[in-house]
Amino acid sequence: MSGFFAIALLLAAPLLLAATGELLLERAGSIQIGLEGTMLIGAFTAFAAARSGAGPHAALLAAACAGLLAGAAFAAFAVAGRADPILVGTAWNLVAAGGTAFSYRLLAGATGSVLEVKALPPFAFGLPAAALAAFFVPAVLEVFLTRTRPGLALVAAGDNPLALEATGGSVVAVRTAASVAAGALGALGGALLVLTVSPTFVEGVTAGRGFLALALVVFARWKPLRLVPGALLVGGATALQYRLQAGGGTGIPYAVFLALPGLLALFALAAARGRGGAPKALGTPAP
Amino acid sequence: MKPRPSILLAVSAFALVSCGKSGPPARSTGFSVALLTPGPISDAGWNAGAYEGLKAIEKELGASISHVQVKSPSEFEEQFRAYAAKATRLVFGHGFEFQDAAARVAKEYPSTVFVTTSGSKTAPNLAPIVFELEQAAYLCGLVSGRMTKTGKAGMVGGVELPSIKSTFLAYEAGFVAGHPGGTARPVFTGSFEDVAGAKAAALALADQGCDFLFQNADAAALGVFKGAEERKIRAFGTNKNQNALSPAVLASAVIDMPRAFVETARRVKDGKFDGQTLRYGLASGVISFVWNPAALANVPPAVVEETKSAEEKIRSGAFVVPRGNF
Repeated sequence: MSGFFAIALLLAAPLLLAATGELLLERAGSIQIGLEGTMLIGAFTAFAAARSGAGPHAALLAAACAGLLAGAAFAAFAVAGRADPILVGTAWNLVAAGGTAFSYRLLAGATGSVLEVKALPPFAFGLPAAALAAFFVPAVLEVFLTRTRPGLALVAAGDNPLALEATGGSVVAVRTAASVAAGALGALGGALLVLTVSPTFVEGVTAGRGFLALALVVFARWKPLRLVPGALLVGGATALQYRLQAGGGTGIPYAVFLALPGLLALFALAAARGRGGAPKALGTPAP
Repeated sequence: MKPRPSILLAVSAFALVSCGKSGPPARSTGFSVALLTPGPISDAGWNAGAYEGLKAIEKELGASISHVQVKSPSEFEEQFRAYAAKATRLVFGHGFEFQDAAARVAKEYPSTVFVTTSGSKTAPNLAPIVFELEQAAYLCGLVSGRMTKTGKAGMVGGVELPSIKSTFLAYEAGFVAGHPGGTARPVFTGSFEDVAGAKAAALALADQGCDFLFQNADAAALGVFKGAEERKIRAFGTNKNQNALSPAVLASAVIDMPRAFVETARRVKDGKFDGQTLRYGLASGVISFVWNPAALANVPPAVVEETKSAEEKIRSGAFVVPRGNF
């Protein structure tokens, strides 16, 4: 597979995992805008595990476990505690940035040192299995949401929480489970970044990808399968803009190229406007 | 990123303890030095070097030190002002981007000396340290030009700051000197932390036929090195000696920041600071071009010789390396 497609897929996969988790949580009616922080936690956990001798697959697993805990912590405040999820998410980003920076310095020293980690081995098309698997996760979520009883309960928690309660379900339990799963997927996204294309952790290594993933959920109008073209568009545009810069001679300022993925997402968003799709009780506290 | 209150607390506590008996308790009477960095000091590069410089000032000149990491230009001014109000004797702003804020605050606090690393603004209590990293970057370019098979080189940068562009200009000049008609293309990732972006940029340049990569991407440099390894091409370290990080690194353009920081602080302490630009190039020993011993076997002896004589000419002033006008 040529360099362009490989790098486009590698850049798309972490976004896709994180966005799928976020979509799951938002369909349940909560929202975690601290996704960037969760990705950072996953990236750091994978890095720390790999540095202490774990293989790349074990590092991925460690990140997923950290993500489960992160999701549970978010749910404790924003779901069970009924705090404003936007405030919790904002604080979450700051705490994760500071916490991972602090832990990194414990590991690498105050002035840092370049500590490389072993990447996941390639499986097919020069890409690791975990990166390829990421592209099937939205389909799994689609089936879960439309064909299974717990999936329907989750959608009810996001669209009509009172109805769920009336039929004996618990909105808090459903949203907490969704948050835990979303945390694991977000952390896996961050871990995948460190274990594939970025060979190390530095403070802020996710470089805004968590926010791009948030935008992807809106772009997909909360439909899991639409995340795949969205992530490919953003990943492809990112890989493409580096090519365009490297090709040179266009006379266009580099900032225009850097903005390209974001601009594309924005246009796509504008084109899809008015078709709705947001869970009706998104961001409201559990009854 | 937030300032590091733990360090600030520790330093102010130290200041209180140290002058509790003799001086007024709220103000430090000793030599105090502060540092503002635009990124985390754990980057093992540009910011780490400055923090090591600050620590060296503490050790060698007995100064009380303080550091904050700042993000936005409004924070630059706020922190400069906060340190000046505490009668800090010397405040470093680490990078070109600090000079406007430093110039504004310097007018209001004449008894504090402000030093920005790179820049051009001066006043009786304001001057830039100019690291002439361009001289070593030119040598990297010359080596690449002599050894390239494709006539194409790539340059990966974080943010398009004048100081970053200036090193690219010098590298390109060296490359063209070594390979007339050759081209060197820049790619910017927009961030000094985006390791994945830096790798993607390196791969894109390699796929365009570049067989040598220069970078000024700070913490993201490892992404460039990994990209170079994957495509079996060569890259150069910058700011710190990065030769050990990858077999793809042919040589490093190094800044000995602690040395420049201590020399500058000593001038201020001894009352010899005169608001003149402080230049450090190859001749001062602060800037150096260091071959990677592990890769040297692949370099033709004639290229090593030529690099050496070019370095001599730059040291003696017989050849002036082009640099950005900033």
